[in-house]
Amino acid sequence: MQKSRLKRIGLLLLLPALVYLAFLSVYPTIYAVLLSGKDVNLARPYKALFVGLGNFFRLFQDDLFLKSIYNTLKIALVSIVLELAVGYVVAEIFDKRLKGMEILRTIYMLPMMVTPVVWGLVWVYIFNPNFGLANYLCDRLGLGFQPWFASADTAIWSLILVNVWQWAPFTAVIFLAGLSGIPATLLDAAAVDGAKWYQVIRYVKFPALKYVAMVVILMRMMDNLRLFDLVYSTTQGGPGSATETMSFFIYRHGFKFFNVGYSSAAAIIVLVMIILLSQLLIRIFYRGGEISE
Amino acid sequence: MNSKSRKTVFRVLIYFLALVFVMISIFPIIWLFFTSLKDRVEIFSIPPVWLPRPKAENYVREFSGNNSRFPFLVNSIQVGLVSTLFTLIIGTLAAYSIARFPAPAKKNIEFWILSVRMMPPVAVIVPLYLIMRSFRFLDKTAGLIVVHIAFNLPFVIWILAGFLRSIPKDVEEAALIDGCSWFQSLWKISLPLAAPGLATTSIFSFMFSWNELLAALVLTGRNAKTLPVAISEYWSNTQIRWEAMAATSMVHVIPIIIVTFLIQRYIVRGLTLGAVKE
Repeated sequence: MQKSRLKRIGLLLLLPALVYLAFLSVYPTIYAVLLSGKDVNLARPYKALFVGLGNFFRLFQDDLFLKSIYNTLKIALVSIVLELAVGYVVAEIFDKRLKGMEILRTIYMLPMMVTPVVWGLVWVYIFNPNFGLANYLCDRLGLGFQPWFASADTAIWSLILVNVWQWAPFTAVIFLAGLSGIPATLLDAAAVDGAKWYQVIRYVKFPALKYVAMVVILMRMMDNLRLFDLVYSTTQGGPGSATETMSFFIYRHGFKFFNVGYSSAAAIIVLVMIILLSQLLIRIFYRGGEISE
Repeated sequence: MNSKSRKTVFRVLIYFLALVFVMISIFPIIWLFFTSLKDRVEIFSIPPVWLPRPKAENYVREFSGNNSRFPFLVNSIQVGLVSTLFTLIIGTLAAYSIARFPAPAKKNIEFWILSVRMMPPVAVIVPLYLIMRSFRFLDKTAGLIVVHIAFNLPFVIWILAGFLRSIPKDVEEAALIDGCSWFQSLWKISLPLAAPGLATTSIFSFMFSWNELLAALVLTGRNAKTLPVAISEYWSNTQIRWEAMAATSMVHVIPIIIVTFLIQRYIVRGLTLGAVKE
């Protein structure tokens, strides 16, 4: 077939997808940018007022928004560090190819497959200060009473705990894939050279895991920047503003106060952060050579 | 210790540690299941009741009568199936084009599709709400389906293109030489060969839709709400009906457990958009 004809067919096949995404992805994004420059409240009948960058200036003076950025970053960074640590240990355990490990690994993955809405509520039940299982066990172990989600000091840590519990399996299975990609000859050579186990980890395994670790860190960073479901089903940003995250801030302003202009401005900030991270991730995808041409 | 018994000790230790981590992971699921069998008294009892007497009361109450959650289960299935079907049709064509055809600015289009995949739904949820409102699509399953297709399309295109690329080109070229049209070669040769990939991709697409909360929460109401929204409604600042929440949640979770075992080989690839393969 002629090359130009092939090109035409190629474009034709892409067209439905491109048109669809243009209407339901590009257009809403442009819409959000336009809204972010206006003072619009759906609950009030007055006309939308163009305020330019006004919403952004207001946002950066809004203590609650600043708090939400701080909380989001705190949750993201602490969670990712813990997930990497736990994930690596678990990956090493599952990497020992023993009978039945595969089925255990699949069971281990279950939490990340289910919506955080369910887990949020389950953990709120387990962490109930009065009749929850966690405090019953704490009491038996002599750790005393813990307020968990109920106190401003501990709520964010409880949230991180649930987040890590749900997503450490993600890190673990990815590290596991990375570990199993290390050629056996490399490990044998290290053993022949008399390398100690920590030297093997430091000089063979860590370098081999660098690529997958970058993928995990960036993907989890983006997930955490848009963390919503878990917050919605546990603390709803509270107590006070202790667990207010950026996504929840956007949701609250958009759909509780109907301040859609202000909400969109905050959404644009999250969008910009995520776009920067995603471009980095895509570069790594291509450089990793895992994506074939 | 000789090396053989040392090996045994090592093995036992590894199994033990693996079991500890697996227990941590699935304990909340087990606890959720037990909670769904409890009655009000057992919910609040201290010390907690570990093994309640099995009874189906909570399931029957939550899924029948006036206040039944059954319609929301139907909504979830409907939104998941229909959105997956359409995503797959549009997505397969696009993926086939990316995998096989030269197209102007193809690299950029690919790059762009991957970027769209990573967009946070929360950034476009307000505009989507306003758009759906102007089309009178609020609180209709069709409205949510339209949005879920948009959310899942980039993922499906990207993953399917990977599966289609892994099929040797020669088979198709032979077919084209024998006088097949590109459509016949896609329909009769590539797709059957990519069947496992197609099945996995559909399951992922269904699962994303099944789990999705934000758009469902914002775009649906009394009629079209899905199971995750119905589950989130048990949340309350004061009094949560734990046993009812647990029963409804179990209905949501069980299909996912089954599906997880079906696609276990592809989970890593799917969730990392093909960046990490097993």
